[in-house]
Amino acid sequence: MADQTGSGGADSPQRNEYLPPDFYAAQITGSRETLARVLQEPALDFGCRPHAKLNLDGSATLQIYATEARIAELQAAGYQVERGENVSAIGRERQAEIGKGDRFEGGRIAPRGLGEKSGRDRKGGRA
Amino acid sequence: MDFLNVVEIESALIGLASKYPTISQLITLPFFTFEGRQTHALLIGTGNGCPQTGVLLVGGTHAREWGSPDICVNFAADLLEAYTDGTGLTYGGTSFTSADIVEIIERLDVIVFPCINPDGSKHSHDVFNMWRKNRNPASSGGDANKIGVDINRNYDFLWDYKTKFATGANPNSLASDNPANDLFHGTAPFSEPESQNAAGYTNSIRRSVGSWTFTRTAVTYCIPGVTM
Repeated sequence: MADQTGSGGADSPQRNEYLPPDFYAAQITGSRETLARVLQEPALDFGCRPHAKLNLDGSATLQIYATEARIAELQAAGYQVERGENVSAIGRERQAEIGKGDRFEGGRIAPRGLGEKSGRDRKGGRA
Repeated sequence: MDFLNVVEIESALIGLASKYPTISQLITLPFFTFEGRQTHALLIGTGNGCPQTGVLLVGGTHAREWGSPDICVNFAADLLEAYTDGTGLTYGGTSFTSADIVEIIERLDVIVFPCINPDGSKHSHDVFNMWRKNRNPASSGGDANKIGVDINRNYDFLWDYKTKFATGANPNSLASDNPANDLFHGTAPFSEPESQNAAGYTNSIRRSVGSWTFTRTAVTYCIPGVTM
C-alpha cells in the first residue's frame, strides 16, 4: 500500500519548517500547593495529562517535557526542577527504527502478533 | 523490531482481513485527513448473525506515542491467530485461555482502529518526533507552529472545557483554544476528520460500544467519543 499523499506531496514543506529547541524530560517536586501552581503555568507539556507521583516525605512529583530555557525559567521562579534525558535527541535516534517501505506488501502478507500462543487446549481451530 | 510506519499500519489491517475473512472485516473510514490519507479499522468477531457488544480500541491519537498503533495491530493479529488455531494467549504474566479467546471473538465485536492520526504520526516519524497533534493548518494563519489539533480534545464530551470545569481547574492541562498549544481542541467539536472517523463509525453501528484510547501515559476506558 503506497502512502496516499504521494511521493514528496504534503510532507515536503514540513521539512523546511522551524523546529523548536530540544525538549527534556524533567521532574518538578514540591508540595500540593506548589504543584497546583505548576499546573497553572502556561504552555507546560505534561504528556497526555498531568500525573503526580506521591513521595514518602509527603511531597509529590510531576513529569513534564520542556526546553532548557523553560526549565531555567521554572527554576528561577523557585520551583525544584530536575532535568532528565533529552527526549528530542532520543526521538531523533529512534526515528531510525521506523520501518522502511512496506513489510506487508500492501496487505499481501499478514502480520503476526508478539503474544505467546500458549497451549492448544481445545480441538482444532475455528475459522 | 522496527516500529510500523503509517503505510504498514494500513497494509497490516488489509493483510489480516484477507487472511481471516470469516472473523474479520476491513472497515474503510470515510473522512480523509488533511494530507489525504484514508484510514482503516478492523472489525473482529464472528457476529453470530447479530450485532454484538462492541469494544473499540483506538491508537495513534497523539502522534508522538509511537507504540500504540503497533500494540493495536499486534493485538488484532494475536487474537485472530489464537482463535483460528485454538490456542490461548499470553502477554508477560497475563494469560488468556483458548476459552477466553472464543468468548471474546464470539460474544464481542472488537473494533481495532490502530492509527487515527496518520498525518501526525508521519510527521513525528520523519520530522519532529515530539509532534502530538494532527496536521490541519486551518487555524494556523500560516504559522507552522500553530498547525494541528489535539484529536483527543476534539470530541464533543467536555469540548467546551471552560464552562464544564471549575474555574482554576488546571486550565493549562485540560485543553486550549490557542492553536499554538499542544492541547488545542479545534474550532468546534468534531471539527477534525480524525475524530469524525472514530466517533462516526461507533455511532453508525448503533449498538453498545466501549472504547479504549491508548496513549503513552494512560489507557482510558470511555463510552463513545468521550476520551480526554
